[in-house]
Amino acid sequence: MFKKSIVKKHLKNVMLFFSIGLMFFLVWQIWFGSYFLPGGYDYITTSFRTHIMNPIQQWFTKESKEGFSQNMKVLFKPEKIILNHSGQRVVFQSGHKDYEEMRSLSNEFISNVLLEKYTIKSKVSISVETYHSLLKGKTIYVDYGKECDFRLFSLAVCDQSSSVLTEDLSVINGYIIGLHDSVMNDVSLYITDKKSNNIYRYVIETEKSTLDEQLKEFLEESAGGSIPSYSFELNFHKEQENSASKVLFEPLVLLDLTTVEVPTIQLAGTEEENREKFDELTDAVLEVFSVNSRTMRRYTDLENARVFVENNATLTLYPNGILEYQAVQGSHGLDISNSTDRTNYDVHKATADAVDFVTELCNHMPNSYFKHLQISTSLVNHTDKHNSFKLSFDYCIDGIPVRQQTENGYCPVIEMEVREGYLTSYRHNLKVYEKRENEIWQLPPVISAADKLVNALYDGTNALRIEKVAVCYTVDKEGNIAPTWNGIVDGKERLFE
Amino acid sequence: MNWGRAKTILIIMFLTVDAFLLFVLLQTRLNYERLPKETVQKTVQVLRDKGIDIREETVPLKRAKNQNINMKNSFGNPIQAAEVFLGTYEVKLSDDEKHEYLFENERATLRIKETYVTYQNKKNYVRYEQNEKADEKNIKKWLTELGFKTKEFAIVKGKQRDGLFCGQVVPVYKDIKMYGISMSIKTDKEAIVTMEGHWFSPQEAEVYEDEQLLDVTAVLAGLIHREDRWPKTVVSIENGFYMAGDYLDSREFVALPIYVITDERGNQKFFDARIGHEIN
Repeated sequence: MFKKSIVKKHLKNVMLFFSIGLMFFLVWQIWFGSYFLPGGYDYITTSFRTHIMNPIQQWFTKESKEGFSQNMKVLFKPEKIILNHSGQRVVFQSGHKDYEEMRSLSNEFISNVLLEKYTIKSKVSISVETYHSLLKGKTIYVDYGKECDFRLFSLAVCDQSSSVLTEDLSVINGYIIGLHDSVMNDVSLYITDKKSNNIYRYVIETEKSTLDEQLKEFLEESAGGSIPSYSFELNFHKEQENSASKVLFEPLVLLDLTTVEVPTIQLAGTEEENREKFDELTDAVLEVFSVNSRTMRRYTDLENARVFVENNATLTLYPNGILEYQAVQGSHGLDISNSTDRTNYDVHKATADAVDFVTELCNHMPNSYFKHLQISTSLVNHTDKHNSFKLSFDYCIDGIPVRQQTENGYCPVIEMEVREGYLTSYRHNLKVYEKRENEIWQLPPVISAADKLVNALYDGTNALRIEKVAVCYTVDKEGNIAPTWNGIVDGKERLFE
Repeated sequence: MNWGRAKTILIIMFLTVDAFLLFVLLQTRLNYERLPKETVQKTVQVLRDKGIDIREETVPLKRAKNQNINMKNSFGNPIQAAEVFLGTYEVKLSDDEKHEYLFENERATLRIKETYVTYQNKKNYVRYEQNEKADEKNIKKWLTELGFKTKEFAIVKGKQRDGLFCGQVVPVYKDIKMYGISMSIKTDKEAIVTMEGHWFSPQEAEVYEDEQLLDVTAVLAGLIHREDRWPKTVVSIENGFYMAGDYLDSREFVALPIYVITDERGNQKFFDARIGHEIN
């Protein structure tokens, strides 16, 4: 009897809780299964989702939305920083243990100038010969390797697009910090405006001795090894009097006459692992490209590429990790602009839109991926197609870009075209590469590579003009990786093969 | 306080509320899954006023699910296809680059070019007599023997010509026909003699329960604005899925939901069930 009443009591509790729970469940189904509500009433559930659920969800997700200037700091770094001091010359490239410190030091200096934390005592124009001769003295030459709109450069360096030097400078590709040997406590900043070809010297009021000491410390740690020479120091930039030159180097091309060592790299992960990673990225890619997976047409072609077709564009994901987006001829493409104002669409706006888009895509990839990217195109306004910009990004290891073989040659990892804030084409190779520990590759001196190039290209009349040389890794269609010399020859990028 | 009695009262009260809520939930669900009759009546009236003849019974009241169907090319693996069609065979041609294959045995040949298939039986034809009608059950049986799943195909546009049965085989997903691709077949009294075309099998459905398809009444209302004044009479309205011919040379693609409207002459037009546009 007693047992019966206990069972009855517990049963009642269970029934009560069950009926209350069922009531909440049914109310939830009616209110928040929004497709059950008649049209016009779903604003309640939509508001709940927008103003309460989504912010809570975003708070827990790991999206890091850095500003454009922060992203530019990562994506736009000097190709090399050359320290000349006390008869020694050291080249700091990404991968050198002190590169980041040197970069930080030179960044801080120029940032202080632009933000007027350092006073500019005077400004004069100098000749190109004077500019070249500086590099033999106590200097830090920060070379970005490509031209950049000064506002973008300023943004990357000091978070401000407008500064005290904006009136003088439109396009730059680097700068020199000169310490001089005089007893004056001045430091000078030398910058060439590539648009007007004026070279300015700004005398800056700052503590020269502190900077001097810091540079001496860098030298002590890093000096030794071969000393590279500028082309103008070797007279490789001018035609010789006695004989016609087959090749001429731009004056500031740095030439090392010894073999060069670079880290060995390999594809990260196996082919199978990579294919799985690319598959996992599909949903994220569709989201970034705003592809409505419900209404667009999609198919897998005979080469196993997945193709998503919308009215105005096609997105293709190849099994080898290549992602391609192509807007239909005549249509706008994907709107990636942060602003509705598309008038005066210049390189500044195009770069901001492109960087934001690439950052958003890279947010879905491993954290370290973004840090390997570098903008590889010049960031300048065009005189002809003023509203359309082609930008590319390299995947770099220790500052050395990895170029994949395509039908158009060896290309950067990301190539995109932006027109008035619309993405009209995008190509991205999603493969990731890594260093093989304690292994290096050796490259012959650049002069030997240039000799081979001359033998292949010299037509007997005009000397080849080499404007830039650098190392890059090439990956052919079979996946074979090799380091090679690369450069700009007669205005075109070429491999020195 | 007599907690026992209080609990009993509360239980009865909550269960009553639950019953009411359940009723509301089921009612709204029912409304969600079916078109209101008044809407159908009004649409039919509007169409008649504009010179389009249609009966109320022609308009399906049950709403179709908003879903895409993933379709896979049945001949994506040529060796597998050859095993199913021919059993034992000899490989006469196998070009992976051009995706071109030819298999043969003493009974038949199977040619696959990209995704286009041609099957040819080598036997002599045993034609139907003039008054003899082809038995569709046999044809379905022969198709099943060739690897077609019974519930996944339908035979349409069948007619007899020169003693042979000629028709089209179209894919079917849960009794819903799929348009855009088909295989042409010819049979005699004993077997399938030729078969050619593209074939994709439904794999799985992606259902989007939070979004409904456009009501068929909205699509019908759109007919009154057509410049070609089509149709004169709506004979049937069916749900279907559509596979665009542009994507036939692929391993997989997605079939989208459509409405199929047929006129008095048997002409059919397809309308995207999400946005209402005609599919050309």
